[in-house]
Order: sequence, then C-alpha cells, then structure tokens
Amino acid sequence: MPTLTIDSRQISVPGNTKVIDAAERLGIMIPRFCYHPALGAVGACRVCAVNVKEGPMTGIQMSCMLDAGDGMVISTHDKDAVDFRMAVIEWLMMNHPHDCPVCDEGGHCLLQDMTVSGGHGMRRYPGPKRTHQDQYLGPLVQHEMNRCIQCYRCVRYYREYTGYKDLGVLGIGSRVYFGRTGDGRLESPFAGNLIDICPTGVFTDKPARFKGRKWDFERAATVCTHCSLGCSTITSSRYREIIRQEAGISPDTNDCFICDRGRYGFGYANLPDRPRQYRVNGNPCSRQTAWAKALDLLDTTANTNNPSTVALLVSARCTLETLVTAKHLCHRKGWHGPVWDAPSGNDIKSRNALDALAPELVATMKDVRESDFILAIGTDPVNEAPVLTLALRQAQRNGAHITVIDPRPVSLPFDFEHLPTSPEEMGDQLAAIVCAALGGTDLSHLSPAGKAFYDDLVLRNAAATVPDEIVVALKKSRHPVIVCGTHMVNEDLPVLAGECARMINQPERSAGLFYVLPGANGFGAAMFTETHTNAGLLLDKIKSNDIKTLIAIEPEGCAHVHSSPAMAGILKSLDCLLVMDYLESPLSRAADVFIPTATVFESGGIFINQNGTGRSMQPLYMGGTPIFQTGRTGPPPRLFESDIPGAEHVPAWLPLADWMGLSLSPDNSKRRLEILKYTIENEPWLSALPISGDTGETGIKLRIPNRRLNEFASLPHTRNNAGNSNSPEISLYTVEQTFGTELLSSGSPALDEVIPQIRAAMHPADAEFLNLADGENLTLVLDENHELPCNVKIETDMAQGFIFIPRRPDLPWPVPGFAPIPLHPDQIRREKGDLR
Amino acid sequence: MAHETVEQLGRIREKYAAKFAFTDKTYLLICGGTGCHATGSIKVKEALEQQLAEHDLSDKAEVVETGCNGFCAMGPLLVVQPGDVFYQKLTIADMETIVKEHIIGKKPVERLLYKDPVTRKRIASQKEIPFFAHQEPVVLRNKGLINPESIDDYIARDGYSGAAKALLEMDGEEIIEQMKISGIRGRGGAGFPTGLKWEFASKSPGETKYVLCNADEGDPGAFMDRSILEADPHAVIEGMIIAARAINAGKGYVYARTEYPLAISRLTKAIEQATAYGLLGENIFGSGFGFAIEIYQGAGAFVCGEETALMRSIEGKRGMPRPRPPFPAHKGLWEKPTVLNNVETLASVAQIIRHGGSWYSAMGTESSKGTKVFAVSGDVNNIGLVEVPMGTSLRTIIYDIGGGIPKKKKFKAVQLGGPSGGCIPDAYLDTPVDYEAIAKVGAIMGSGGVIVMDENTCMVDMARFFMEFIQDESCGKCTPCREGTRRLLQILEKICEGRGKPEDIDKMRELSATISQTALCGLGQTGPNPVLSTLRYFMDEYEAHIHDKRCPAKRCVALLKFEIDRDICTKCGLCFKHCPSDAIIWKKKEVARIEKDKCIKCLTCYDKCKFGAIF
Repeated sequence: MPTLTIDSRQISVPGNTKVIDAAERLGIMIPRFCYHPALGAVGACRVCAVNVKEGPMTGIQMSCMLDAGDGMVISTHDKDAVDFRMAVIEWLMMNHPHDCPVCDEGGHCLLQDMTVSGGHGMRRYPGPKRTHQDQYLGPLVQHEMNRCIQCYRCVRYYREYTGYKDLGVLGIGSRVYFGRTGDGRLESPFAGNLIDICPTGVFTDKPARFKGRKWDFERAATVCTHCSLGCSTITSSRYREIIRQEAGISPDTNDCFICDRGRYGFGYANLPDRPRQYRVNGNPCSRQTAWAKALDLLDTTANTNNPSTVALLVSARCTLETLVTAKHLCHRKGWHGPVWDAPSGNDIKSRNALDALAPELVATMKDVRESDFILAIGTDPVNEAPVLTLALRQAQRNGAHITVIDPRPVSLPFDFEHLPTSPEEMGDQLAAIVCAALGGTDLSHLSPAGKAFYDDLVLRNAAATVPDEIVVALKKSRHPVIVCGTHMVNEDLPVLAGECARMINQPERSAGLFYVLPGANGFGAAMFTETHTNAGLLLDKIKSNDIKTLIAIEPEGCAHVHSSPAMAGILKSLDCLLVMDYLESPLSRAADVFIPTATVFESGGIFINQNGTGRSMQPLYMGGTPIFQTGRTGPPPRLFESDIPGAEHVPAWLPLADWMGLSLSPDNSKRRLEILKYTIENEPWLSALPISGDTGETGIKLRIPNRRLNEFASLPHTRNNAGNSNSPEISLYTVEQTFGTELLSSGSPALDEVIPQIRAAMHPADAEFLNLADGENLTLVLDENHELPCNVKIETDMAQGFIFIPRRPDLPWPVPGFAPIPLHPDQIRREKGDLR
Repeated sequence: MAHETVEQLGRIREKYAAKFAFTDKTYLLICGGTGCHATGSIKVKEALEQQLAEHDLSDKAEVVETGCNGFCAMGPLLVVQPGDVFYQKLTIADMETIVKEHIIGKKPVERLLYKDPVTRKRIASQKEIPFFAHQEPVVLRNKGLINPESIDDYIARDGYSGAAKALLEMDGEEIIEQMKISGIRGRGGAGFPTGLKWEFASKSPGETKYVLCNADEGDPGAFMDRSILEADPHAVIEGMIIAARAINAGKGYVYARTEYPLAISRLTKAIEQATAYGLLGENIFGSGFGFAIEIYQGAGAFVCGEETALMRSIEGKRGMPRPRPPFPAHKGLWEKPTVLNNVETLASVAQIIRHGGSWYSAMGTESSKGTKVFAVSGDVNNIGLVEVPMGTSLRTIIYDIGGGIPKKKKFKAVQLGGPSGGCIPDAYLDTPVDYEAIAKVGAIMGSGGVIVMDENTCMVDMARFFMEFIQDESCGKCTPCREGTRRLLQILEKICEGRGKPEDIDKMRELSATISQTALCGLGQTGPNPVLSTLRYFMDEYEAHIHDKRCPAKRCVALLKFEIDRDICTKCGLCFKHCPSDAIIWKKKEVARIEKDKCIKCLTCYDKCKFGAIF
C-alpha cells in the first residue's frame, strides 16, 4: 500500500494504482480525455498532466501513466501543470467547431467541462480548422467527425474492448479519422456505447437527436429489462416521453457498457398505440367502471365455480412486487397459479437451474470477466444476453480459454472454440470435459452422493469425445466459470452444469456458475410461480374447461399465440378474460376487462437478475401520453384538468393487492413502499432487501434458497436418442436474436431498421439433402393452418438436423410457448416447384 | 548441409582465401547498390560480362556484383583487383575500353579514373582517393568487396566466426560483458549502451524473448542501414544470432521498409542461405541453441522506426508508440522481453565478439566508442556512405571526405540527425563526432544522416520543410505532437510567406518547449528541434523574414520581387538562357528584365545568377 501526497493530502492506495485514480479517491478530479477506467491508460491526450515534486521522475508527468509510488509528492494545481493542461486544451480546441448550441453532447460534454475548468477561455488560433466528411453509421449512432479531439477512446472501445473491427483509425498526424472504410451501419450490437464513451459529440444518440439537453430531462438510474443480466442504465425522459438511455456503471454486472437492445429498447413505453385506457368488452371506459366490472366478474366466477377454475398468468417481465403479490393472491383465493408464461420448457429449466445454483458457486459478470476458462453450454451470448459477450471478451483478452457448446451458429467477436452439438449430446460433452479434467484429482473427500455423481459422469463421458486443449485448459485454470443457458438445453442440463461446477470447484480451483435465464425477472418468476404447471398445460386446462377465468398479467408467450388460428378457439371457451398490460396484443384486444399497467419507468420496481442480485428502480416519471403525441393533432388543448392525459395506468400489483384486500395508501410513493414492505415481509429469503427500496448501485445479493446445500443431485438419466440420424425429420427451433425477438425491444421503433429479415439457418449437409441453396426463398409448412415464408441461410458452424428461425413475437406458431416442431421434408416448400 | 560445424566454416574460408587475396584471377568488383543500379550499373555489368566473354577472358577475370561501395555520387562504379583501380561514372561503351586496355593491356584507363576536384589530378588507387583515405571501415569492411548474395564470400571474410565463438565458447553473461566493455551505443540515434540494453532483456523473466532489427530507416537523406543490408546482410544476421544468444531469444524479426526492395531481397536470400547452412534454425553449431529470423515489411510510416510503434506494427496493429515504461526489455513485442537494435549496431556485434570488447573501445572518444557510418548528402561534392571513427570532426567529414561545397559556394550549415536533429553552423564544424559533443551544439547524432547546406539555403524554409515532414509523419496519437507541430508549421509557413509577426518567435519557443517536454515518443519530443536549432544559430534570418519581409537566401518565393537590380546585373544573360518559361527579356549588353505574367517563380534565375542581381 504505497502512501503518497497529492495536493498536500496523504492517501494510501493499493499497489498498481495510477496517480489519476489515487487523486480521484481523494476527490481530486484530474482532467482526462483518453483515460477511461474500462479501457485503461494510453497516454495519448496528455491532459492529465501533473507536476511530480518528489518521486523517481520529477517534473510534468501524465498521471494516467504513473503508478502511485510510496513517498511521491504530487501537485495537480502547480502552475507548470495548469499551464500545460491549458496548452493541451487550447490545441484540442484549435480544430473543434464550437458548435455546442447545435450539438447534442452540449450539457454533458467532457470537452466543455475540461475547457472551462482547464481555464482556456480566449482563442488565440486564427487559422482554418481541419474538417472531415461524416459517415452514415446506421440508424442508431450519429457521426460528426469535426468535433473529434482524437482521444482514441472510440476505437479502443470498439476494437479492443468489444473485438469488432469495422470502426477504426484512418490516416495519420493531424488527419486522423475515426470511422469505417465507408458509409454503413456499425456491425457491433454494442455500438451505442460509442455515444457514452466519446468525450465530445463525435458519436451522438441518433434517435434522441435534438430532443433535449441533460438539464431538460428527468433522469434516473434504471435497470435494463431486456434480458436476465440486469445491466445498469440511466434513463432520460422529457415531455412524458422516454428520450434516451445511457449505460450505468455497475462493476458486478455490465461494468460501463450496455448493448444496443438495452439502449434503444425503451420505445415500447412511448408507442402511440400503447393501450392507455381501461376497457370493458373492448370499449374504453373509466377506471371505476373497469375496476367494478373486474370485481364483479371475479365474484361471479368465484360464486358459481370452484376458485380453482380461476388462473393467474404472469411473466418474467413482471416486477418482483407483482410476482409476490400474485403468488399470495392465488394462495389466499385458491386460484390456479400463478403460472409462468415462458417459452416452452424454459420455466422448468430455470427452476432446475436455481436448484443447482449453490451460493458458493454463484458467478457475477465480474467473475466471468476475470475468469481464465469459460465453458458456455446451451447459450448463444450475443443473442440471448448480449452484454455477456463483452464479459467473455474481457476474459479472452486476458488469456482465458473459451468454449461454447451449442447447436446454433454461435458467433462471437473473438477467437473461441465452438462445438456445434445437439441438445441431447451437450450433457455428454460437458461430462466428458469435466471427467477428463478431473482425471488424477483426489476425489476421496466427496460424499457418497458426490461419488455417485462422478460415476455418472464417467458413464456419460464414454459417449463423447472432446478436443484435448479444452481439457488441458480446464486443468490449468484457477477460476473456471460454467455458463449455462436455459433455452436450447434439455431439462436436466442446468442441473448437470451446476453439479459439474461444484465438481470442478477444488481447493486449488474456485469454480463459478453462471446461468442465463429467460426474461428480466426470470429468477423471480422461477421462485414465485407454481412449479407443476406451465403455459402449455394451462391452455390444455382451458380447452378441457377446467379453467374458466384467466387473469393475464403482462404475459409474454400467450399474448401472442392467440394470433394463430389454432389458438383462436381456445380462449373462446373462457368465461372471463382479464388482461393487465402496457403492451397491446391479440390477448389484450380479446379481454373482457383490460387494465392498463405502468411500465417499469413509471412504476419502478425490483428485478432479480440471473445470479440473484436484486436491483430496484425508482419511478422515472409519471407517464402519460407524450406531449409530442397529444399535441400533434393541432393546437394544445385549452381544457384545464388535474389529470395527466393517458396516465391512468396503475402498477400491475395494485389491482392484485386490492383484490386481496390489502389496504394501501392512495399516495403513489407511499403505496410503493407499502407493497415493497409486504413483498419483503412475506418472503423470508428476500429479507436482505431494504424496505426503503434503495438497493444501491450494485444491488443486493440475495441468499438463494438452495434446496440441496452442498450436496450433489443424482442425475436424471433422461438422455433420449431423439436425434435419430435415420430420421429424415429436421427440428425447427425458434431462437433468440439480439434484435427483434425480445418482446419489449422488438416494439421499439428505433430498432426497426436493425432487425434482420427472417432467415432459416441450416447446416450445409441438411441444405444439400433438401436441395436448397443459400439465399433461396422457401415456405415452412408448420401445419395445415400455419405457414412461414423465409429465406435459407446456410451456416457451416452449427449442428446438423436443425433449422433455426428467430423467435419473433408475431411468428405464426401452432403450438404454445414456441415449442420446437419436427419438420418432415415435405413440409419444406421451395418457392418455385417442389423440393425434389 | 543441414548442420554446419565450425570446421566446415574453416574449409570454406580456406577455399575462398585466394579470392579475397586476389591471387587467382582478376576481380572486377562492380557496385550493385541501389544508387549505382539507378545510374545503370546492371546494364554496365552485363556489357562487361559480354566483353569478357567475347575476349574469351571468362576464366581469367570474374565480375562480382558487390553491395554499395559508398561513393554513390560517382556511380556506376567499378574497382579492379588486384591493383585497387577505381573507375567511376561508367557507361556501357566504356566496358570495351576497360577490357581491352586494362584487362588485356594491363594499363588502367586514365580518363575513367577519379579526378580530384581540388588538385585536378587523376587518382588510380581507391585507397588514395580522399573520400576513402579518411575512412575506417569496420561495419562496412565488406562493402564493395564481397558478393552480398553469397554466404561463402561472407564466411571467407571470417563471417560467422563471431557467432561460433558466442555460441560455443561464451555464455550470455560473457557476451553481454564484452558488449559492455566495447562501449558500443545504439546507432539508431539515441545512443543507449547496447550491452546494458541486452542485460536488461536477459535479466527480464520469461521463456519467450525476441530480438528485433530496426531497418525502418526513415530520415530524409539517410541510407546507411539500406546500404549495410545491401552490402553485407550476413553481418546483421550474425549480430542478431549473437544478441539472441545473449538474451536467450528464439525468434527474431527484421523490420524493413517495403521501399527497400533490394535490401529485402538480399536479406531474404541471406536468411535462406544461413538456414540451409544450419546457421539459423534448430541447434546452431550443435550448441543446442536455436534461432530463426523473419522479415517484416513496414509500409513506410516514419513513426514505425520508434521502437514501441515498430513492435505494434509487427503485431499487426496500427504503428503507434506507447509510453515507456514498461521498456521493451521488459515488455516488448507481444508483451515479451525484447531487444531492438539498429542495423548498424547489429552489424558491429560479430566483430566485437570476434576481436573482443576492448578492441572496439580502443576506437573513438571517451564516451563514444567505435566507428560511425554517415550518409553524406546535400550540397557537398562527394555524396555517399562514409564510416569514420568516433571523434572525427565534422569538418573532416564534409571537407576531406565530402570534398567540400560544389560550385565554390559558401557552407552554411549541416543538418545532423534527420528531421528531428539540429543544424550546426560553420563556427562549430570542428565539433567531433561524439554523442555528447553533438548534443552540446544543439543537434543529435541521430542515425547518421548528414545533410550539408550551402549559402543558398534559407534556414527558415529548411525548418519549415522539416516541420512539414514531422507534421506529416506524426502518428496522431498524442496531442502535443499532433496539434503542436501543426501549429509550429503554420507559424513557419506564415513567416515564409512574409506574414510573420515579432511575437511569433516567442510563440514558437513556448510551443516548442511544451511539445518537447510532454510529447509521448521521441518523434514528438525531438520534433521542435529544427525550429530550436535554427532559432539558436540563424535568428538573423528569422528577423529578416519577420521585420524586413526579406529572405536572405532568396528561397522564400512570397518574399521575392522577381526583379533585377540594374546596378548589380552584369548583363551576362545566364538568367535568360536558363529561364524555362521565356519570362526573361535580355539582349547583349543590356540589363535583363523579368516579365512577371510569364514567370513561374521556379527560382532558376536566382540559382544561375552568379552576382545575386535578382531580388
């Protein structure tokens, strides 16, 4: 712990701390442009100069390059240092266009801050400024090269941090240019971070252009709800409209960056066709009318039928408060559920995953970044949990060995090993790797269950061969992490993955386990929904008239299966359909009573991410129809009303609490704390959450109620040989994509342009067997009522016997929950003529 | 021959002994350096071979294409051995004469011999020509003598015996000890003691280490490294083998610019030959030590000569320097301990090992040992490559070896160390070649470029020219270099255009101080040197530009009137004769006149007028 003196104040810092960071700990903010905590120091901009009075090298030094040393005496406000910093800023401002009034960065521009704080106020340079042509970089990022101060943050982030190559530096000297070789959309799904990382306005938020300054916005720290990682975000709204999102900083999750799905996915909250009114039988009505009608219907049902004919459907986009209230409402009323409306099977797999998630194994994104061996099984990071890709990339940059076992054509922006394997065989491969790596390890300390598990592994091992280098890398590793998905896997795989992590967790090797769950609150949904049912079974019960009343709260899959003809009849057999949502869907349109709910931006709420970290969000704004929409029809209304137009929505838990008889305060903010208190008090394992609702920047790590603490599970031997190679059938799977499949973000207009067309990915051997060429149009006949036109995409790096298509919410799918469909070659129709 | 032993090297040496004593036949050593290639030496060589064949002399005389002889200004060159007869500026037609008169007639061809510009006498023997007489070739000992494409030639001249000694008789520490005793300092310009550099790298922990050779010679007017690679590529390879042994590196790279195709092709052949002889590869000399060399071609960015930028370039990244520490000896190429030496340094290594460090340290001055190769160019009679012991004065290099200033013009300054070096005026010409002594007068030793400037050079314009170069070649990473040098250039341009203001001098001083203090790498730190050294010695010229709006050397077009002074004009008509655009009106016994609408401001008349009548 070197102790040094900065501006006459002493501080002790850990070894390898740079002086710039040491000063920051003292609250001294040394100016910086090129230095960024996530990108490290390069010493390019020279604006962080300080004067070293005592130390190995005295004089003007760059504080970002200088390791804090014991006994150093440093002055940041010495005249030499101040003059030099002023000179650097003056140089940078020589070419800067001074277009702050029309620049979107104005107001939160580091260059503005540094110019003012650096003391450069008078321009001496009389010459011409160098100018550049800007490029079209796609619909999300706006380019304005003239503003550039050449800090190189953008390319360091884009090429080094994320591994994408289509943005770089061109030219040398004072002609350096940061862009692509030509116009075109940035290929990286993390390109939006350029906006955050650029210290001035070279890269700005295109959809948010000219919509406001930082001080115009209502801003709040938020949690991203577009996958299970729970990245930190900062959301800005103005005139009842969400304008933009920036990445928040959270070392345990996203560090400093988010994906473009998270950044631009908020558009659903602003949509003009967002249902903002209460409806009874499809007709707009007042809140009181709808409320009364709902109560009436529920009373009638309860009186005439058994309470168990009432079912409650929730999803992973519900807040923790909603899920807990729903659970207790069902228990109290004897209703069926709550049922988790998740894509087929994902609910069970998620529950299995949480069962196996032993507290000592839980890995955070930080652990992934710092890992030296990563085995990702049954997950496609870029598409399912995009920011996980960045964590993997950091591990890879530090020399970690990364393997992905997955049937999909997984593509990552760095070198990794991909074993394209069918879901049936993935477990064997995992077992083979772990088994081989454990060879020669002393396992005598294992319990009988552990030994039995190891014997199981040995048995499974025989069925697969894996590349030696993976085994060698695992043997050498000290911090391996097993990442396991919950979609493209068999039901037992999450358990197997968890137990394998426990198995390789040896005294000399601390293993981590990282599950990718479905939805923002998949963790909560798995914990608080009924275990022995799912959306498919629920629909069966409706068909068989066992369920007569359905209350759907912010549903996911079921909301959209209704659009398929086969499903149309099912809902007709219901007596009563009650829908609460902030999205319009076929289900909401069919509802007898519709209650508009608040988005997380309006209601706030707690989400538990995939590793069990609870993060709360404060409400950002009241909501209501954006002024841009209310005012666009003509002059502003001259009616004076106390209510905000279009702000009748309520948090989804409010009607539930009402039906349960909880007496809550009429005041919004008080009510929020009351329901939070109810939630925490009624679920003992949530007791770590503060009743104030403030979970801080990093969130609260919840103790996961592990049902088999420190004990191995016996493996369910469910290995079936469904992938029979003699069968001509091909399995048609729907898979997640970065853009266009996640329910909320797929409705965001900003992302319209980046959603790719629907293409059916298949292995070259399958394409040859089916006599299909890459790029060819074809129609998949799902059943007699459902056809899906698409386009062939031949992928060499995927398993044979599969066709993968993006799981668009509006996909016409004949079976609930997007369950895979076995396709016979006859069901694949070429556009022109027959297949053969 | 996969595994060549020391005995086998000895046999090659014996076999070729006669060749280098010139006792078996006549050797016609024709210069095959880039300079002579450009003046037509390939065709001259073909003509010579044809003549020999025609006269049936092929077994009595042998034509050898050597590397650069050094006296580039006189090419194409031919040295006939035995006899040491030096022929210059040859044409194809001369070959018949040489064969008939010299080879057959045994009488040197008088008219093709070197003519001393001072004494006007012809000198037959190469050794007696002043250009060669003052030199002491150590690094260039094989230049103009061996065929650079023949490893046997190199071995015959004791080649690879240094490597054999290093690998079989010495350990790493002993090698480094000899390097330290020799006192050799890096010839790339900075002058860091080579032995110390190797010691750091050898003590740096790590299994993988690298030896790099910096052949990215970028200074305008410098061609030492190119000439060494073209004339004696094996010397560099041998030096790299010894360096690798010293620090225990298994792999080496030569970073050479693509603009040096001949050097690259000769080096490539040399690496192939050395590999075939077992001098590169696994288990060299049966010592158990293995080393391989790869050539990496740079795309010609000046900054890639900076060591950290060079390493990034080899890694396939953008060639931009990174701050030191960590120094390459600890974290270099791919973050592994790395030694990077200049071509000339590495070419000296084998001889230091062969003869011992104290042999080398006997040459030179107190702080600068050995010899230094310079590329002398500019306004000097004998343009070429010279090697002198450290301590030789600049005056000796420019006047005795370089033959003085052509056309009876006056010497003004010599620029040492390329664009980031400095200029030295007449008053300091007795400064010895020595790292410290040169630094004291405001220049740097640099890699060896010596650009001589006569009275017709405008020093403000020269500073502008070099600043333009630096500004063009700045990588664009750090602000002081990228923006500061651009600002300096803009001010210099302004002064050259006659728009300079008195305060510009202070502004330039302020800028220069800030830039050199805080730029990231050597390029930026030394970037303001041309400004600082011209301000130091030629302030009067700046003042003339700024206050009088006058360019004393008559180079700055914007400050010239393109008029003829009637009082000075001698009515000789030289200006009229040379004007390319017929802008000068002149009749016999009349003062010339310039028609301004026809004048293209090419300055030819200024150059031609011997009386300075045009202003």
